[in-house]
Amino acid sequence: LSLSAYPRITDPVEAPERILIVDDEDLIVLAMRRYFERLGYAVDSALTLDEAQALLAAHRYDLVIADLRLTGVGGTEGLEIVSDVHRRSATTRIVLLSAYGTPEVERESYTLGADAFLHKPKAMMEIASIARTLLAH
Amino acid sequence: MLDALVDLSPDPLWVIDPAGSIVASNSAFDRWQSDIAEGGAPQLAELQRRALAGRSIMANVRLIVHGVERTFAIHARPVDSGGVAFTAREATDSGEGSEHATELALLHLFASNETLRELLPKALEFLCTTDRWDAAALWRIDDDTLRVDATWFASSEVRARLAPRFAELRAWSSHEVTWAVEVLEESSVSVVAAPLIDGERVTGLLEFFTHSIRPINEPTRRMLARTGGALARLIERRQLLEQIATKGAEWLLTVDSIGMPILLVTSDARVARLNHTAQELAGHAYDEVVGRPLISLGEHEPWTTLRDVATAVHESGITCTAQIVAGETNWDVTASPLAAAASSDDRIVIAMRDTTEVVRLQESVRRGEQLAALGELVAGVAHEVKNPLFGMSVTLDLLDEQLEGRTESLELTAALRKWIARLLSLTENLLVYGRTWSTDMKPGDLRDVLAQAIETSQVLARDVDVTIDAELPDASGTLLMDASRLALVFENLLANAVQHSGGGERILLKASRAADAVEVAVSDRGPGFKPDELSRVFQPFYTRRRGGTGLGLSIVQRIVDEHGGTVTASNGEQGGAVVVVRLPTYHGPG
Repeated sequence: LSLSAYPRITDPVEAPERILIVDDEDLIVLAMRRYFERLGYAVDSALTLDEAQALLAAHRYDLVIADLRLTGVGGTEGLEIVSDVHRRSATTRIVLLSAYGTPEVERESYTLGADAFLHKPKAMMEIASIARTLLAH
Repeated sequence: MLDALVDLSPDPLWVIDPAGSIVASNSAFDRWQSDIAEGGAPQLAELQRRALAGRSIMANVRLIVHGVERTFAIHARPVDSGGVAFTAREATDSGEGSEHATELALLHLFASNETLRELLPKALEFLCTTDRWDAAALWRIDDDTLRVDATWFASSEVRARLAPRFAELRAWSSHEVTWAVEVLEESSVSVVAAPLIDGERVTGLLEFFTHSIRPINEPTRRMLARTGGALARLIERRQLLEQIATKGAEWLLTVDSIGMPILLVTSDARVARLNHTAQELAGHAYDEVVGRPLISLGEHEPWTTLRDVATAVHESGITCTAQIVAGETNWDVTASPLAAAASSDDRIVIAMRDTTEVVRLQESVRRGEQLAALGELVAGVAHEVKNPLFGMSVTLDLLDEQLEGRTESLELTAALRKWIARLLSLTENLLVYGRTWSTDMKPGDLRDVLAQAIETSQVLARDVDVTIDAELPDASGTLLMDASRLALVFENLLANAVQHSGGGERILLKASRAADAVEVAVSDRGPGFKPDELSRVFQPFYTRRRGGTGLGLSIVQRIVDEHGGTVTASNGEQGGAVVVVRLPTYHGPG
């Protein structure tokens, strides 16, 4: 991918698509939320699995970007979110982010229905590009 | 022991030298001799003459004892020293005396060191000569079949055709002495067969032939029955002894072939026996060591501890163990008391097991466990660092959008991104270095791994105008490997070489086969290692390069270790660094 393929914040999205961002780090959630809002998406965010599941029950999202680990060592709450999303809506895309991803967990997430598994850290431009690609299909 | 036995015998026993002088006798002989008046001398002289000629012979001799004529069965047999041994037993009133004398003579015969195969014809000869038979045969019962065990013929003309006949078969079935006249080789012969009875069991038959019609009377029948019993017991005992001797020889060979030192020591810690491996350990041959105190083998380990262990076993009467470190070798020693039934002097068996390799493996496992624990810690920290790095990177991404057009500020965020990249590279390397829990070993070809590493490194090399040459004539070798991890070894080595090479220089990756291993050498024409660096290049965080993480070669060593290989760093003959990785080849399971 060349740089020109990445979406710019100045390229607004025509019909606002709804994104849910889930991460236990509030500063990461803040930055990602701002970034996607500037791209023109309607963004919700959650810091815990419970919050995320409540939002998923209440709204329909076009894309969910979730951290794999939302609690202590070895947590894989992101996989539960993948299952939840997959159960509720066939059209919702889901991207998992992880700083701990082992090949086993990555395979499992795809089995459960994740659309992408990204290893932290990742440039926002790349994440946004993948989001746009997924939303277009 | 034999002396004591001889003296206990109520029968007179005496031994003469070839000249006829008495050289040994028992107390019964001394009493008997003083009682004898004149007479019998010519018969004794005849017995002596025939015994000196090598014959074992028995005859009844009449002697005057206290004025009364009495008959003695006297047995004369040659002895090893060249003289003759005599035994006498009174046979005046019945056949008892000669029966006993026959038994005693057989006992003497069987006391020799000869084998049963050598002894039996001599026993037959003795019995034939004593009782005037022309031939004798000894049958053995083997799987319900009669087989000839030994024969004796007075002369070559007398040849009985030996096949089981009426007399033998009847003696066998009836357990009694059987007499018959049979026509053998167109002449009549008297045949008498006596069963060899050992307890209840008939183990064989003793058979005599003569060319005259010679019916047997009751005393002869009784004597033959008794001789058969005596012979059966002697043969049985001798067979047992020969088996023990064979087993002893087998044991000696077995114990000698055992690759662990085994010593038999006396209670005062002297060497009684030792096997071949123990002789090698002692550095002396068997005869040089036996009888010596253990400690005389060296005032150092393992001998000092062996002596203490032997003493401990002697004092406690129980099995004792010890661990000995002797130089580079570790020993596990077990010493057990061995109560010998026939000997009042108890022995101690010491078995030594070389545990050097086991101890080395244990240490290696312990080191491996420590490394694994450290690796997990390092990897855990690295993971924890990744999340904040992501937060910083996301924040910078957002900031960059807001700083669009402000070049000076963007230069600062670019610098921050470089620092983040450096931290990220360190984190990734720490993860590779620390990862020990998911190695996935499968048989694979080293050539594929090398090809992949070279292809990956080409990009880096072309950027700085460095050429990678590969010589892989013998690289093809199946290794048990985690291919993606092993590729990191050569990617790291090539990256190192590229970083220390100047523009236009060449790097050589050369593979060669050694016995059970493949060797890969990566050499560059850069500055090489400084002498004081060589011992430290594999230490984590030791780096020669500004901005390096200092983990490249540590990772190489770690992964090579995981693959059971070795890695060495040196300088080439024409300068430049040379790193050689040696990996064991895989020969399949089993």
